[in-house]
Amino acid sequence: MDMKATKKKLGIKERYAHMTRGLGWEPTYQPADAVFPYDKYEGIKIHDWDKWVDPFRLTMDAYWKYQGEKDRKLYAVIDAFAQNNGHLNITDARYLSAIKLFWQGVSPLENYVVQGFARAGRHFRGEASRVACQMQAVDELRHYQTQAHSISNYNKYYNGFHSQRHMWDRVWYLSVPKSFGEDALTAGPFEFLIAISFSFEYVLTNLLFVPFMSGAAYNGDMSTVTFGFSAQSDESRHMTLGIEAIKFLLEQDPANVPIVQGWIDKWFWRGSKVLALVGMMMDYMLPKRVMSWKEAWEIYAEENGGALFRDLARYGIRPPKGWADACEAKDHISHQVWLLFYEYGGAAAFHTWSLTNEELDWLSAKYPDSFDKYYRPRLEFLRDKHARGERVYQSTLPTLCTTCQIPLCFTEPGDPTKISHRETVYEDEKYVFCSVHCQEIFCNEPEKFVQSWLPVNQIYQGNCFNPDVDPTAPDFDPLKAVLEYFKYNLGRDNGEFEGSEDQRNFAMWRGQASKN
Amino acid sequence: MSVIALGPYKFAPRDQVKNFHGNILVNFCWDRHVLVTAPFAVALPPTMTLREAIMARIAPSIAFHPDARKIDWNTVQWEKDHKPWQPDLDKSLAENKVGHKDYLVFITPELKGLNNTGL
Repeated sequence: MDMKATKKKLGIKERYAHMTRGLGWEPTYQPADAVFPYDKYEGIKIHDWDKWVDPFRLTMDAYWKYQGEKDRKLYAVIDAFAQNNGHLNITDARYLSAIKLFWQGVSPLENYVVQGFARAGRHFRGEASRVACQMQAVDELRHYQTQAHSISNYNKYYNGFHSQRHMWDRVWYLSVPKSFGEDALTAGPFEFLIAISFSFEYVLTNLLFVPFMSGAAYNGDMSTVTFGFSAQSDESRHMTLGIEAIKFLLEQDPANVPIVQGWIDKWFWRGSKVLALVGMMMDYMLPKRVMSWKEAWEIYAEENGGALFRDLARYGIRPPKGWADACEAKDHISHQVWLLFYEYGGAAAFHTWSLTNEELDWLSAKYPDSFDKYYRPRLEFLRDKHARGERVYQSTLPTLCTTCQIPLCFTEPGDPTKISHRETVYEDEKYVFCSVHCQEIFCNEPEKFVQSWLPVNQIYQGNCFNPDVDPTAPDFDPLKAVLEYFKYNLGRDNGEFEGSEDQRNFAMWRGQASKN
Repeated sequence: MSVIALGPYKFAPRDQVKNFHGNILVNFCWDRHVLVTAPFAVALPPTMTLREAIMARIAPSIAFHPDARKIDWNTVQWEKDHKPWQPDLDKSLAENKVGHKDYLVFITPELKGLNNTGL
């Protein structure tokens, strides 16, 4: 007699249902609004949380298994890298400035995103959304850790990698990603989701990860390539979560559309400003270049983003307000930010340098409409000065934008020799901005941005010196005192690459590896 | 518009003049000379004359620009609040009504920048 075998394994859909919705319950001791106090005040209306479905239908049990396998592979490579002196296989020690900037300014953002998703994972009412947010929180924690472990190999040999947590809360240029992250973290959970999952992960993350990881591969940095690959499958899941999240919000209620549109306008602009740092890395810091910032912008923002916003038009969503200006800036921002860091190179915890003619020619070819007219003459002038022993180091502090906190180094759209600036007076206080879009972000939430911790202004208020310094002493050097407060090893972490300890050591160690 | 929050949301502005130990913060931008990559923010006593402020803080910071030594400060044109402004260089910042966090643009139309292209 045939016996019907009992079905032992659940299908993926059933397992997903059990491991998400099946884990939830209706609260009875307290009303649901008291248990979930933060998912209504932003004005977003959700009628049916069960419409939220993770397209990967990933559940926690499968998640641990996948991530465990990835970690085993990654740590094998990191070990091999350390044992084989992988740090000597990179193209040139100049490349390390890109990794320093990533470690100082991007990795700590991963930690902020951990906090944000852990919070969203607690405060959303729908179980499936909570599970997805919890997994992303764990992902981001893993990214931070794997970056720390990969990059720690460089910290053994090179300057500028130490004191990351200390610098993050103090250093002037790190306030740009820090304020971005804190703005998102202090928003409501839905705004956080649109800021990070959609505007950053979905629209902009390819501009960060693809060029960065290809840059690492081109420049022999197997350690970074490996953590990049290990993070990449997470990133694709995060991007999918981003698009699902926005469609879910837009489909739940038409009243959500204008709120979401406002967040897209804000966070696209903020994200595009933070990514100016990546533009500089691609065009200037990679000894072997992958593609220009402009090319990356055209592929990942204009083409992919353009298609995305055509798709979202059916919900009543239009491209972000700053779209045209951000696209116009693709010819300029990487050069403007590099020149800023070059001139303020004494105050950055990574190195800057003069480009060779070959490198200048590459940029001329990649930027036919802007480079020869507006940037090459400046770079050549500064290079000549350096060759004459007059390396330019600016020591007077720059004006910062109240919103994005970047020094006002950007120019008016369509007018590349006119510094762009806007001013607003709010409750008798004046505020300065780099652009009409940063001004508008302020004007939408002035009570938030009056609190901006602008490093330049804090230095002048006397809040950026070590407690034992005496600003009234006759030999008091305020810039030196500030850099010591940042915990820079002066003359080793900062300044010109040519003649730096990193340059000397790399050349010496590589020489020992290849000659007697 | 204002912040959407669950409770009262009001904080003191972080950059009020009282936090600057008697100084005011003043921004200076040299128009169409972007070799100087960004405008400067400097803390100055309001009793200082504008000329003293320029000579002590701004002139040395732009000295690396080849146009810098050709500036005749007596004929420089100024903008404040996006409008033309005519200060008296030998009067104090306060007398010139330079306020905390004001943004001053100085324009040297006869100096065309590096390569005569506004750099």
